Amino acid sequence: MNVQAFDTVTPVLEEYGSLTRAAMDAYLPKWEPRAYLYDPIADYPARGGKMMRPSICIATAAAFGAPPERAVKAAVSIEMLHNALLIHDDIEDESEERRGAATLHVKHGTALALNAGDALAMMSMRPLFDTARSIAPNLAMGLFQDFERMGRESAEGQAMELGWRADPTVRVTRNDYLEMVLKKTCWLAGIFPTRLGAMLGLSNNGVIAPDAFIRFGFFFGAAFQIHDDVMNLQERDAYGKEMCGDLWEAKRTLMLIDLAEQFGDADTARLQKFLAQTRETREETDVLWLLDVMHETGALDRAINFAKALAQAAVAEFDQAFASVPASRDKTFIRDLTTWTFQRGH
Amino acid sequence: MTQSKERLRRADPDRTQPYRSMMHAFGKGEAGGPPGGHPLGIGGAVSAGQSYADRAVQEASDLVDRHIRTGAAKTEQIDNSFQGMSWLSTLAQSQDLAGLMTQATKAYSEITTMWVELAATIRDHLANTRAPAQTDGAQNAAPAGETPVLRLRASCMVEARVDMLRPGTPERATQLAPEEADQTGSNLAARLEDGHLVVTVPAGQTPGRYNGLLLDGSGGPVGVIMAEVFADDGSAA
Repeated sequence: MNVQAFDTVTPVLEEYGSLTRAAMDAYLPKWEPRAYLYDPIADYPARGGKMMRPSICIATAAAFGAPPERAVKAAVSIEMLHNALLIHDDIEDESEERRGAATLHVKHGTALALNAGDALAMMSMRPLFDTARSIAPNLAMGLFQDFERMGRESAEGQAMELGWRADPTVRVTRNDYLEMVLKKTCWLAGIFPTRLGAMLGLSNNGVIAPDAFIRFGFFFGAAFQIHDDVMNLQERDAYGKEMCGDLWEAKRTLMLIDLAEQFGDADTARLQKFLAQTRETREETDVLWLLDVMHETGALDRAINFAKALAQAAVAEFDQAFASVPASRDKTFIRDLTTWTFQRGH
Repeated sequence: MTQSKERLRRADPDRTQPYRSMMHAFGKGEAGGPPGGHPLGIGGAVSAGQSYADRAVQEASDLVDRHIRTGAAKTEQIDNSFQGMSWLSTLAQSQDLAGLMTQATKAYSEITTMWVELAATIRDHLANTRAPAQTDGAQNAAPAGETPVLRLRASCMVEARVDMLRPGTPERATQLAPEEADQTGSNLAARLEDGHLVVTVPAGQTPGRYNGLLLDGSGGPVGVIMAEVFADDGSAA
């Protein structure tokens, strides 16, 4: 069977990704100070990426009857903010690699990277302003309210995760993790892009329910994040981040939470000691120990199964959220994206 | 690599048959696979740990429902805070801080880009304007959420419009201040009369753009007023 013939996701990602990149270029200044600001700002966007978030936005608008051009600036806004948050995340996580190259703060120092992230986050508003100019005032206000909420939820989720790292003694449950993911990941990765796209739709006159797409975006985003966490523990060549980076950073992933709930006293003490260390003082033997135990106890398998179950739930939510939308390539793209994430090796 | 003696082992699967009830939580029937099936085979044969996923998905579903409920409450709380920005109008009444309101007005116009045609362009000359009786603004405010009818009193060519930011009852209007900081024109008077918003442009007014706000009872902005005064030859500033 020719699998490519049934790939309903990659061509749309490429098309809408190219559309977004071309439009984004106009929003990335080429003037001075280039070396200290605008070149670093343009660095992450130039490294590629799946362009999943902007593609979801454009596809949702298209599924609701709007031409892609109507949503492309909103998609640019999402992608710019995503890249801005990546800069800050990498600093906060002390990450060394991003998309196969050194992170921005490793290349330019924390101060310049932080400033570039600030600027890019603020500049992401500009394409949203330009989008708002073309739509009715009530829709424009809804668009900005959602932008504010997405930013707030993302910051709250990041704060939860950073707080857990700062306080290694705090007990984190699976639901704590899911709430963190809902805020940190799902709003920007799934909820906001679909809501924004639907607000730019024509067949619905841009009107959406206050809670529209939240359940869909949550299940989709959570499946995506857990799969992402699992992949972080896989082979380096297939991913592009440093292998086991999440373990080195002692991130409270679902797998680590699973282990913590099963450990006896001795292993709990060793885990606590590991969590209390800084990244620099953690030892490879401990990282490999945790990885080994995750495999042996089935924590990894459970996480993978859970992620697939969440993706299945996302498909079910998709059926409801897009029930009023006629069949189209864009609608199929969004549905299949929920499970496509498990095929990606990047 | 060192290993703990306290090694855990994979638990035996607690079922050997496919588990088919998960999707009942989402209004699906047996198996609950995606419509038309999927190349990944999700929803097919089930491996160990399925009951874990089943419980976890149900809990996740409850969690997102709580998030929706609390999110709505928080949003309402923020909206209420926004509506209670009485400090804005208080500051605006200060001569020294009048520029702040101008900036706020500009910010609203920038953020919302709400220049839709809620009120069509009005060119109303003084000679043709009936002078309505002055009444109390609060008692004669426009209905909640509706744009008040705009009346323009001017002896020159003026374009004006009102854009509502949110539902609310406008109870008074601020003066319209020049949009540009270096613009020399004096403020334009604006007031609510008998459900109408009356903007007065005196003779000889400096051409340019002027902005003001419609405020509700708490002093929160509910709308934006914009007027552009043209030169005698009809040209813009």
